[in-house]
Amino acid sequence: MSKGIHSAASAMQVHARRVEIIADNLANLSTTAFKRRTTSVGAFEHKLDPHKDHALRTTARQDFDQGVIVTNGEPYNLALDGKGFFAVEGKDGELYTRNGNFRLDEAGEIRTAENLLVAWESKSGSIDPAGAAVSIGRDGSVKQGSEPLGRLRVVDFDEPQRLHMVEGGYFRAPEELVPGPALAEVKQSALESSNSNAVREVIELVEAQRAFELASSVLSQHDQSYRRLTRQI
Amino acid sequence: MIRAMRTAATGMLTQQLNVDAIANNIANVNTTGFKKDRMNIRALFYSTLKEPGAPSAGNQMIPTGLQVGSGSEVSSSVKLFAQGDLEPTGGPLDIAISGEGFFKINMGTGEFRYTRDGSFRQDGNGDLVTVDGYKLEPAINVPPDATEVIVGQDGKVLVTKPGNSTPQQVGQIRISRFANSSGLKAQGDNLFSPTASSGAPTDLTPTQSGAGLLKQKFRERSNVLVVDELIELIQAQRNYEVNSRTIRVADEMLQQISNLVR
Repeated sequence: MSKGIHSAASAMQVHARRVEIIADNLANLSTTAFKRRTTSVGAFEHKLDPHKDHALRTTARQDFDQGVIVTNGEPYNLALDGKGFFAVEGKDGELYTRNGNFRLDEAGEIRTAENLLVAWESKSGSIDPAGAAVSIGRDGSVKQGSEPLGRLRVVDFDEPQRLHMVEGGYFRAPEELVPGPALAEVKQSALESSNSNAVREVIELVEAQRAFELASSVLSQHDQSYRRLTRQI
Repeated sequence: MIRAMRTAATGMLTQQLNVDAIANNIANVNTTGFKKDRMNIRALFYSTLKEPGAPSAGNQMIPTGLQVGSGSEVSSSVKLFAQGDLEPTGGPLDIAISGEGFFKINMGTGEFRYTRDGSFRQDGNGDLVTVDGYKLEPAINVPPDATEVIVGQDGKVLVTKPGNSTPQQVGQIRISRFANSSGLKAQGDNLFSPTASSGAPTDLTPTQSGAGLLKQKFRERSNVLVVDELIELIQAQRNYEVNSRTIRVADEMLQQISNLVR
């Protein structure tokens, strides 16, 4: 008896958590280079230990699908086409992002919107802010006029799922995750849109809501059974 | 549930600011030298409920962990300085910049502002001024008896006087460039002021060191494309709508919870 009521309660919790994650996907429909999170529900503990309750658990995976690339004409707006991340210099160690909404500062350094320095793979010169137009190639190589200045650091990971998400669309890599070369191509004067899609998210939202509803009616059924039982004693 | 409601509320607020920016862009579709705004939207912080890679009860490793986001916010707005279309006006003092750079305007208080709006007039002394009467810097004086004014692509201002067919140079228009023009602060009246983020201006002769060239008898139209803005507007509205839907769903779920207790 109590097993059933706990299962129903855990199902309600799981679907409530799903709604929270879908709400975040929907709130970030216009966020540059946002990656949606997909949710799944599984009875992991149960499989591992058959004596345990049917406790459910929500897991969320980052969906690294490509977002639509929109051109805008700004020279320091970069989009990544394919798998990979820009490396930037965070306060405590390197951070990774697909948001290439960069700008040039007075000293000729490329910085993110949060004022973090964009990391270079190799750098042979610096950008003259008053100089000729800067072009950034597909491999991240930076040229001012015809003079090559080096290459921006674009990296990828074997298991990007294990990246830790921090504020502002940045990822932090756990120590054991080593960045390697990326397949992504850099597109200059463009930004990647969010890969969150309103239609898909709303469908999931409704589904999670209904699942929650079902679980809650199961819970009240149990409640009623208890009630009947106590009345008979 | 409460978290989902707050998350959706941040999404609605973001879209509302987005609509404000789009409305201002559309309102300025005919403003000379106007540069459209774009909102930079970013994800808010993530709460980590389970660390990725943490061990689970059965000594198994959780491959992905569980992080729940808390919505989005507008982190900044940027001006997009893409070139606007150049439209011929026939006015000899309508000067447009094709390429990078700004006209430097003397506010008369020792301060300088910068503009892409080159619709100049003459004041009582013959000096070139903006529509609002602020002098161009360095000052260009066109003598009242001049019959024709010619502005070269490189900014040289020549005038012809009656009885003398050879044009004479009366001044040189210079334009200013910034390392990061998106960092300029819009002051209204088509004027911008430099900030720490834009960097200090470099005064240049047009056509030199990456500066644009001048086009006399042209004006630069607003770089707002109505179609683009309308598409953005529709998207923003729909996004607003689905976020409000999330709030309703969360509300209904809360109601269900309270219905459990009788």
